[in-house]
Amino acid sequence: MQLVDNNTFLEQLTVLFESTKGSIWLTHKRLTYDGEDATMKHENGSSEDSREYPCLLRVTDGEKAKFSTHVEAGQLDKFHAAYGSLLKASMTTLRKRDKKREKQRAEQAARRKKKMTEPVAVDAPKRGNGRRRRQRQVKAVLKQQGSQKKLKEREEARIKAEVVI
Amino acid sequence: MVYIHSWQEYQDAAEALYSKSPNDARYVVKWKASEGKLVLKITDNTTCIKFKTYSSIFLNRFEALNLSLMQKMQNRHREELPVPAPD
Repeated sequence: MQLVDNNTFLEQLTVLFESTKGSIWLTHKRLTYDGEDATMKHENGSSEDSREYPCLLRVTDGEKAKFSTHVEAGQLDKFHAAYGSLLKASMTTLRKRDKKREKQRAEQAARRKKKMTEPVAVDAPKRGNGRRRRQRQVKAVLKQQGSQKKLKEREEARIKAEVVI
Repeated sequence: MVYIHSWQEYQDAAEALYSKSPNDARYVVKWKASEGKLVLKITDNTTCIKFKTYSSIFLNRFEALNLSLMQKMQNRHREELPVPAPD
């Protein structure tokens, strides 16, 4: 694991983004390790929280490249300006949300909702020619009831979870 | 591992998780170039929340979240330190 300074870090990160083979992992964490054995951490939740910490950033590509840097508190703004623009510039292959897929999704959701809320009419004859049709209608009614029950349970669970939080 | 689907929810949960355990929590970003997938994970080794996306509209919000989390990590006090009274 190579520890480099901020500028070298950004340069190496740029190179990694350009290689675009495989994946890139970026880890951000507060640096509480002070070098030797003394760790400068304090218990989580203690009220004495006035320390400033450097920020530890690690990068790997899962295979060979592995490097890290410390960002001191005073340098964060400058570093982040470069860091943020680097990330934004390199992640260009993310799809721009196109209206077509959004419309498709909205239509599917509307269709599903309709199926659940509209009552299914069971109007086919019980015996004779349309019996199969009636059986399908009855099955659809049962399916609708099942899905409505599940929806209600999910809503209740969500409400309960919200109350707890 | 929990995937969260709404960005606002993910952002709130991430900041809450970090405030709860700032010394244990780590924020990991995985960028998969071949697939164009961005995954954000924040965990304090007890709970873990993730967010994944293929769309670029989140980039600005992602950068803002990065900044806010890194600021929390550094725990920087923005106020000016009181000037010691001259004797």
